[in-house]
Amino acid sequence: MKLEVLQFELNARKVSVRVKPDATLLDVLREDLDLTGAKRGCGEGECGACTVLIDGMPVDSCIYPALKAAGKNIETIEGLGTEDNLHPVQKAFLDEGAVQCGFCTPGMILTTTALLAKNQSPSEEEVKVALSGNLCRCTGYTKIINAVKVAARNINKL
Amino acid sequence: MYWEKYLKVKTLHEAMEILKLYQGKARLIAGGTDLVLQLREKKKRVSVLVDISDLPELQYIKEEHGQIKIGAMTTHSQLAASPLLWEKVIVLAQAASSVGSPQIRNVGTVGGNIVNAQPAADTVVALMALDAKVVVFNNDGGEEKIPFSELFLGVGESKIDPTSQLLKEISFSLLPEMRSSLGRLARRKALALPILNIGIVLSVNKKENRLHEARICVAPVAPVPMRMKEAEKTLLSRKLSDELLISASKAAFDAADPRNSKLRGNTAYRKELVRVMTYRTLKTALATRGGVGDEAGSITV
Amino acid sequence: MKKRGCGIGSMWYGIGNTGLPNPSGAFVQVLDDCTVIIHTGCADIGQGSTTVLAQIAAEELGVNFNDISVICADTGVTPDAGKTSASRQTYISGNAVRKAAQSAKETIFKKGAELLQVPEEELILKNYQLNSLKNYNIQISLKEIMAKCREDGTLVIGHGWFNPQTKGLDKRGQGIPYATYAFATQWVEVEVDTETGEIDILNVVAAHDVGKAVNPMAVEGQIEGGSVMGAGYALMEEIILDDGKIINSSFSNYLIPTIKDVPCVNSIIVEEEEVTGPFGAKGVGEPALIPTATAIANAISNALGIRFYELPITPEKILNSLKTANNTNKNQRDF
Ligand code: FES
Ligand code: FES
Repeated sequence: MKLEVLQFELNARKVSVRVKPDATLLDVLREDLDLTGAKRGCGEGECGACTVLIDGMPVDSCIYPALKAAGKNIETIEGLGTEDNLHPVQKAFLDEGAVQCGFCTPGMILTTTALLAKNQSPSEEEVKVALSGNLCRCTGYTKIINAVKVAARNINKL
Repeated sequence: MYWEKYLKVKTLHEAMEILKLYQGKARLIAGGTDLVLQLREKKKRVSVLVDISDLPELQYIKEEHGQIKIGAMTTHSQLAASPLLWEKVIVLAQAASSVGSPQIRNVGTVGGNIVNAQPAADTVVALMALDAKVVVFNNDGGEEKIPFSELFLGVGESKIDPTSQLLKEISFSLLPEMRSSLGRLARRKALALPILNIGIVLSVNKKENRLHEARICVAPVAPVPMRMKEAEKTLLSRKLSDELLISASKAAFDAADPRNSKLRGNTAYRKELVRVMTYRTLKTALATRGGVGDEAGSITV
Repeated sequence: MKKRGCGIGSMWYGIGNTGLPNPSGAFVQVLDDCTVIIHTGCADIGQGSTTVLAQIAAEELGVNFNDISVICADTGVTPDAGKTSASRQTYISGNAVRKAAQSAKETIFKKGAELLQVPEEELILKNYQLNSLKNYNIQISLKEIMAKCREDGTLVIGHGWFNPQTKGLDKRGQGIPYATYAFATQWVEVEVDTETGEIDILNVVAAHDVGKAVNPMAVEGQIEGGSVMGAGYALMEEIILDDGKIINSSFSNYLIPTIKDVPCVNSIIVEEEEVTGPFGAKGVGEPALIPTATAIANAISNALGIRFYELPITPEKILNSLKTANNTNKNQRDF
């Protein structure tokens, strides 16, 4: 099978990678680029565990053809913060206990980042709408909503 | 392998040339939120995908001479964020906001939703009620206009053949004093296909307290979204009153014939929902503003 | 029309396997630099057991939580701790870790007593320091003790083992199935749309007796998550079979609650210490989801005056029951 060259910007770096023409963006991130932060929950656009940001917008990478991403700007959880220097949204999720098994967490955090970039002080309803494509089986969402509010406050203070 | 080649094109012309070249082996892909799954499940087969989703000439929402025109590659998120639609065509803004999840709306396009022809597609229900038309390019260079009422042939089947045709634009007329609303029921509050979708578009005559025009589209109660002609006729027959809305809802109930479904519910339940939701959506629609030349002043029901 | 109702669900739940041995083992080692390694077979599947076990060891050894590493659920190196099930890990593996820490502490005390020339019973280990309770000026740092142990080749390592006291059930179902029980009561308020059958959960208050909340934030997380899973169980989760085949095996048709389907959960932690538990702790994993469906079903029947005996309570079932109830009422009037 012929591989195709895919070029895009990934976490603020230019990346060029040879991919199968029918690979999804999630396949390429996890298998070819070893970025396993984005998770495969359902593989069919129904859970948001595979969420990455494409040109700043949350997208389910499990149903996004990799070659569709050509020339676009992709952000994954790996590009957000480091263990010693957490992004304010990551820090808020930890501080508020919004993480249990952690499977939904990368998606939740990226979606939250995109929301807060557009809307600095979202209402509870707006938070719910924004996160309605990210399922969580563990937390019951209460602490996730708190974490988003805390992150918003902390970002505004920066 | 689900497909062998994935081509992103820079112009409409290029897209049409590729379709011509591959003679049925290539098809267009927009957001792909449905198509990728269908190809994976082998419900559809194709060797070449031609991605037109980034063409700027297919992304717009504008008002021209009392018409709204929408480029086929406009995403659901773009529709849902359009102040123009929220002001004048609420039903479509609501429909776009109801699709899947934010992640799906950011990628999925209105054109894709139409060509994919699922029986309860949110924007399709709204556009049927808006009596919209589509402009389609053929790969012989010709162009044709197809009204929504003729567009759908069955579950997952539309008249547009994405291996040789390109859906370019969706358009519809704004009505005088247009009122519209979408009624939607699903098994949960997000990320769920509708059990029932009702799109309602009305044009009111405030002076006489009656309707100039009434359109009700209900889905999924048949393989394709269905206009409730009897109910519409009823609405035009007399002055507005609560009884009138009730009889129109009853007419919709009589016309709906959904099948028993283990996932969506049995026929009796779904018919009953048609009655309740038609009535409720009529009420909400009447309480909105929209279309052209809508001045303050209320309608008494 | 919309009708509101409130309902309560209460439960007790046995912690651990029913009337069967279900032991757990652990090793705790204190290293020269006063950091600690725990080896436990306990699998953390997101409930937070790794954190809780580290807290228990830290408390017992008087060291900082951050100085503890936990090596867990690795069959190559960790002792068996049984399954992560039956809400048992905090209670059972918590005890095993605590005992292992106590046994490592004995070595420290023995060495300390020797060096300080006081009886072991007089000593207390806190903040990396061994003190005599009788005279606080008699002290030695943990660091010094560890250095001495190194000199004479003493490993500061302990093992712990805990098996809850149970007795298998006899023919008449008599015995001691569990060593301890969790208790909980939840209160739920719902609003039911009588024309579409839709149910909205407006409020959830969940009070859980966990013995001792080793990590209150994690306990709240368990309660909140469990309640939402319980709400899914009550209202939407169902495996649908057709001809023996599951027809809704994907996330698109086996629906679980999204963030829009549930309100924030108000959790109340009740701490009635369990004498056999580590620092009084019991379990909370499953208890959190047990009373929710009951409370919701009760709230719905409080709103409508109709009882439901089958889950999930779907909008369709609500409408059908309302119809039947109306017909019965009419018939009664006719007579
Ligand atoms: S894995 Fe992509 S949405 Fe579930
Ligand atoms: S923390 Fe486990 S799914 Fe969200």
